[in-house]
Amino acid sequence: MKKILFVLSVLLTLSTASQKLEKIIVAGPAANVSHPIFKMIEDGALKKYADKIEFKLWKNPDQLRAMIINKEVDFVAIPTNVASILYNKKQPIKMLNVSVWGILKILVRDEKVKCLEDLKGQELVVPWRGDMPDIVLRAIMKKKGLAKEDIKLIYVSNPMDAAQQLIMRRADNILLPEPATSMVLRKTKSFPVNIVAPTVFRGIDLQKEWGDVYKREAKIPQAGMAVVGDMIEKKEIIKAFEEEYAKAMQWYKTHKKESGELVVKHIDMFNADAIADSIDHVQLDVKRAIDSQEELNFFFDVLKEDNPKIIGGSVPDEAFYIKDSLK
Amino acid sequence: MARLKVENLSFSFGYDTILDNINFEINEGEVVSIVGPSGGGKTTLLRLCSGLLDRQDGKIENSFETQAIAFQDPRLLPWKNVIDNIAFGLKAMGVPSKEREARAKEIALKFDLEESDFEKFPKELSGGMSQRVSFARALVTKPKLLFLDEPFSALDIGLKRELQDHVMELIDNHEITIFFITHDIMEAIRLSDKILLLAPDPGRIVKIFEFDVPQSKRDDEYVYTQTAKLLSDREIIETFELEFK
Amino acid sequence: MKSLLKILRDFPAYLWSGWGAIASIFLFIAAWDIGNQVYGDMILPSPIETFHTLATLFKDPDFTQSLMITLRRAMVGFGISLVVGTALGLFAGFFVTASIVSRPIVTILMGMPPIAWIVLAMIWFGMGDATVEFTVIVASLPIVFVGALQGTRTLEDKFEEMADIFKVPLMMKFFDIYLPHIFSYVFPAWVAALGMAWKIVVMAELLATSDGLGADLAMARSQLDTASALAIVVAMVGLLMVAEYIFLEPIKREVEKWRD
Repeated sequence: MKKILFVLSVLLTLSTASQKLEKIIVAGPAANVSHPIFKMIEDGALKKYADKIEFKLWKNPDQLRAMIINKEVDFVAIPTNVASILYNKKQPIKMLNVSVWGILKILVRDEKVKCLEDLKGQELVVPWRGDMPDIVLRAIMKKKGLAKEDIKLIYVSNPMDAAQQLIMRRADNILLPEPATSMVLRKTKSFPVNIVAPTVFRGIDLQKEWGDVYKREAKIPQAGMAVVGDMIEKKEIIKAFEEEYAKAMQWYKTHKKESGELVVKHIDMFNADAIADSIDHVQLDVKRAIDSQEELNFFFDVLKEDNPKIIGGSVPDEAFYIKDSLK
Repeated sequence: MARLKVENLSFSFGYDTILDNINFEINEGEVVSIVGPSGGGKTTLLRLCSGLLDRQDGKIENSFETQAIAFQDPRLLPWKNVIDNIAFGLKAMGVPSKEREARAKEIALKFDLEESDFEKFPKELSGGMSQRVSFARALVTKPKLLFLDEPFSALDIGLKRELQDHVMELIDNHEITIFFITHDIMEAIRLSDKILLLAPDPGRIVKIFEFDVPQSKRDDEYVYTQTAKLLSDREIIETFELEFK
Repeated sequence: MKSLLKILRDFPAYLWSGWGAIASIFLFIAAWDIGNQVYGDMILPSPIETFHTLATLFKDPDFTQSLMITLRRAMVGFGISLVVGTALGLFAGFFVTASIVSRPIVTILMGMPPIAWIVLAMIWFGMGDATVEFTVIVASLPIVFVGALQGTRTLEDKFEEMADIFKVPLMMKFFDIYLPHIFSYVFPAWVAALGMAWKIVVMAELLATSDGLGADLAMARSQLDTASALAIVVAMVGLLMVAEYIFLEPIKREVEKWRD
C-alpha cells in the first residue's frame, strides 16, 4: 500500500512540475531593460514551462500597479526603487536580478562640457521632478559641493518635453535616460529637425560622476527583473527565466542591429538605429539581485536620504531578494 | 396752468408715415382718451408726448412737472419686492427711503394688497396683483400727468372697476390730468372729458367727441347710451371697420 | 448694500439648512470606507488614513507652499477670465455685430478639450505659471463671456421705457435696472467659471509644471503613494466646496429668489 501511494505521489509531483502553463506574462517599460524579453519570445524560450511568453507594456506607474495588484503578470522589468516601494507596500514582489547599471546621461550643446562642474552657472533641464534621476543628480551635486544656485535645475514632466526644449533651443543641457538620449541624438541629426536643432553631444555620464564622488564603481543598480505573485513559488521556472534572460541579454549586446529591428517590431515608438546606438551607451550587465545587495542598499540609502517615499519608506530586507532556488 | 399741446405733429418711421398732422390739447385736470384700431399710432403718439421718442416734425409742449405711467403689462422689476417696486418712482424723485417706504405701504393697502404681500417678488404675484402694484407705483408719486396705455385691457371686470374707481377719485378731486389710450369705448366714455378718434394709415385725428357731464355724475345708463351713440357714429364705424346688422 | 446685509442676515438659516448636505457627505464617506474594505489600501485608502495623511500634509510647509502656488495660479487665471470676460461680454452685448462675430469663436473655444490647450500651451510657454494660467483663461473666459453677453442682450426695453417716463436718472437706471439684470446672468457664469478654473489648474499642473498641487499629485502617483494622492484630491475638493458653499452659494440663493 505504502509503495503504491509513494509511486502515485511521485507521479503527481512530476505531473504538476511538468504541468505546462498556458502562458507566462512578462511586463516591462519601453526601456532597454525589457528588450532581452523580445529575444526570449522569438526563441520560444521557456517552452518547457509554458506555451508562450506574452509581453505587456507598462507606460506609467499606474498601469504597473494595476497589473501587479490584479496579478496579471508573472515577471516584470522594473526600476529597482519602484520594486522597493511595492515590496514595502506588502505587494507580492521579489527582485530577481539587476541588469541595467547606467542609463543617465546629460546631453549638452557645448562639447567641452565633460563633468558637472563644467555646468556651473548654466541651466539644466531635468524630467520627472522628485523621481530617481532627479534624486541621483542632486545627491551627486550635493556631495560634490555644488550648491543649488550653481546649476539652475529646470523641471519638466517627462523626457520628451526635455528633448523638445533642447531641440527648440530653449535649453542647452538636459538630463535624459537612455534610450531617449540616443533617440534625441538621432533626431537632431536627421532631417527636418536638423535644420532647427543645434548640435548636441553626450556630455556627462552621471554614473561616472557617481563613481567619482562616492569612490565606487561607476555603476548604479537602476533596473532589473522581478518576480510577482504566485510565480514566486515556482522555483524551477524562475531559474530557467534567469538563465534565458541572461542569454538573451548577451545576444542583445552583441547583435545591435538585429536587436534594434527586433525591438521596433514590438514597440513602435522607437527607431531601430537609435536602439542600436543606445546599446553602446547603456551599462547592461545581468547580475543576480541577491548578489547585488551591497550596491542596492547603498543606492537605496542615497535615495532615502533625500526622500524615503521614493523607496517606499525603508530599505527592503533580505526577503526582498529571490534566493538561490533549488537548494 | 400746465398743459400738453400738440401742434402739426407728424412722425415717420422709414417710409411709413405713422402720424400725420396731429393737433390737440390736454389742459390741466382734463382726461383725454385716444381711441382707434390697433397699429394706428396711439402708442407712438404716447411715446412722443412722454419724451420717449424724439419728435421729427411739429411742436409738442409738455409743461407738466411730474408724470407717471401704467402699461398694459405690469413691468415690475423682478428683483425688487412689492414695496420697492411701488416706491420706484418716488426713489427717482429723490424721496428719502423711510418716507418712500411709508407712502408705498399706505397706497398698497389702499389698493387692496395685504401686508403679507409686501415682501413678495413679482414672480410670486398673480396678474391682477401685479397690475395693482403697477398702478400703485404710478399713483403714489402724485403725478401731474398720468399716461395710461391700455392698462385695464387684461383685467377682469371686477378689478377693472376697482382700479378705475381709484382713478376716478383723483379725477373727481381735480388732482390729475390723464392721457389715456384704450380700445374699449365704454371705458373711455366712463372716464374721459374728450375722446380723440385716431384713424390709421396714416395716423390722424378724424373726430373729437366731448362729454360735458362730470364723471362722477355719469351713471350706467348714461354710459350705455353714449356708447350706443358712438357705435353708430359714421366715423367710428369706418375707422373700426365695424358692421352692424 | 441692502442685499449684502440680507445675505449676512440669512446666513445662519442657510448654514442650518446645510444639514441635509452634510448628511449626504457622510453617506459618501461611508461608501468610501466600504470601498476600502473591499479593495484594500493599495487601491483605495480608507477615509481615516486619507484624512490622517491630509493632516500630516498640512503640517508640512512644502505642501502649504504648493497649495499657495496652485491657489495663486487659479486666482490669476480666474481673475483675468472674470474681468476680461465680463467686459468683453458686456461690450459684445451692446453691439449686435460683435455678438454675431464672437459666436463661432466661443463655440470653438468651448468645444476644444482643455487638455489639447495644455499641450499647445506647453509648446508656446514652456513649463510654469504661464501655461497653467493660459489654459485656465482659455477654459473659463468663454463661460464668463457668454454669461455677460446674454445678460446684456436680454436687457429689455420695457423696463427702460417705464423708467424713462418716470424720469429716472441715469445712475439709478444703472444700479436699479441694468446691474441687477446683468448680475443675474453673470454671477452664475462666474460660479461655473470658478469650478472650471480650479479643475483645470490641477490638471494643467499635473502635466505641465513641477510645482503646485498638481505636480505633487504627479509625484505621489509615480511613488505609487495612493494615500497622499487621495489626500491631495480631498484637499482640492474641500477648498472648492468651501469657496462655493460659504461664499458663492448664499449670493446665488439671493439671486434665485426672484428669478423665475
